[in-house]
Amino acid sequence: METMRKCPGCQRALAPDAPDGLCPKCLIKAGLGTGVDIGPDSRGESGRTPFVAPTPEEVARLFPQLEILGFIGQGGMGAVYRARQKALDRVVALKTLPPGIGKDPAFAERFTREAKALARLNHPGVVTLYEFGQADSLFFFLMEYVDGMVIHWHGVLPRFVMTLALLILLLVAVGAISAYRSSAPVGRIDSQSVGIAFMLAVIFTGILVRRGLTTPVEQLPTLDRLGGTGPKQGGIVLFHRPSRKAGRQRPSRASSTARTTTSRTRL
Amino acid sequence: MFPATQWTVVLAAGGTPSPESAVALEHLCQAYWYPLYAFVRRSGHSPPDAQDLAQEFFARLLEHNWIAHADRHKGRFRSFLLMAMRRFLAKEWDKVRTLKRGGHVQFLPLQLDTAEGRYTREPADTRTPEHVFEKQWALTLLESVLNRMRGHYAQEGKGTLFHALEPCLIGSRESQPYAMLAAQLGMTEGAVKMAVCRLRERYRECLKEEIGRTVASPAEVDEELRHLFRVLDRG
Repeated sequence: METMRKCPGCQRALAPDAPDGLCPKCLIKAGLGTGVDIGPDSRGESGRTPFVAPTPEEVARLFPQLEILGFIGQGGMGAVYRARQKALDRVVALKTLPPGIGKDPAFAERFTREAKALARLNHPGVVTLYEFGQADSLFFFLMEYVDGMVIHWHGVLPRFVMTLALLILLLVAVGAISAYRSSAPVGRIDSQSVGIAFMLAVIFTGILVRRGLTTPVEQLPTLDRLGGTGPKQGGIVLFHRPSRKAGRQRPSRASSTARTTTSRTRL
Repeated sequence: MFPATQWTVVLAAGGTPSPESAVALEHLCQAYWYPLYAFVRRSGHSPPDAQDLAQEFFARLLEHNWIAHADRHKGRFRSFLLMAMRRFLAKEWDKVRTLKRGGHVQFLPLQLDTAEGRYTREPADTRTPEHVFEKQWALTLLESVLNRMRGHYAQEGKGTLFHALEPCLIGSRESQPYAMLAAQLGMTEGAVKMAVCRLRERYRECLKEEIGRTVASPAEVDEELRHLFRVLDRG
């Protein structure tokens, strides 16, 4: 019996009229080159539609053992909900992955492997994995719930506060210099201290500008831009050694969740 | 500057066709007639009628200078052909059917005898004639590009190399290990890698060049590629 041929690229069945036996869709994509936006109507290489997080009500139907307390957040690869395990009466984090992802045969194997690796980790800085599996067509992780600020803001807030403080200092220094030059009463501020304050403000502002403080958050360097291969991890660059350069090998990581939590502990 | 392509030459000639533009249009019609044949068949016409229609359509297109009515600003050859064929089927086919027996029509050399065989190999489904046309257009375009590539490599005496590396145009590296290809071709792995890189680059150039033949401006090439990708993605 003749078996149906599959495209090695997109894993779709090849039609008999495929030019030279090659997948026409992949041929067109090869013509576009890498990293080209195909357009809003496209479903992407693996045929996935853009991920839309299920509502808490839909999730509650799939997990009767949990009481869904709310929706925490969503990324490109899943959504996280705050839930309570009814039997144990503890608050947990439920992470669900996009529904279509399970169609990829390699995914189930990778999913299990990563879950096992995460389950082996036991560290105060790593969230504990309670359970993982598939409910209906939805892959999920049931994890320890860690309350606190979103990791992204850990990086941004201190910078914002420091920038604000330095700007105030700079304005005070400039104002004091103006007052001193116009011979107006300047209280106990003498020219030397104004000069020192001004110099310090300029130096600190220069340092912060150089470190990217004044650049928009979206343009701040991330793990990706430092040579990482995982998903974008906003703000984590704060915890890298400055000497680390792009492209250098980093230690392997169990999962993005473990990585994120470790960073939070370091904070 | 965007080089003058066959379609831009045809469009530029407009109402006063030159011998050059007539040849360009004839070449384009010969290259892309099959998608129109599939469109006509999918619209419900029998094989003999579809063959007559395709032949008559192209003959009239060339003789009556329908290009003069094409929209030069929004014009792609693909859209123009589809629109013209729709109009032809709606308004003129009945008249043509009575006249075509007169034998005063100059026929375009199309391989219509093989077209029906090709059409019957298409999977039966409920797709619209327009979708069939666009999909066949994309397949015809790709076939044409691969044939050109094969020709280029054959001219350089590298036909075997092209045959061996062709699957690398799309396949992941795991499915086409370079080491295996290197052993098969008697080359080093590095040389195979370089050859694949060149092949892909040349393919991209060829594909864009081929699409460029049918669009009116360079900005439309990438957009046309994306459109064809979406057409193929729909199945």
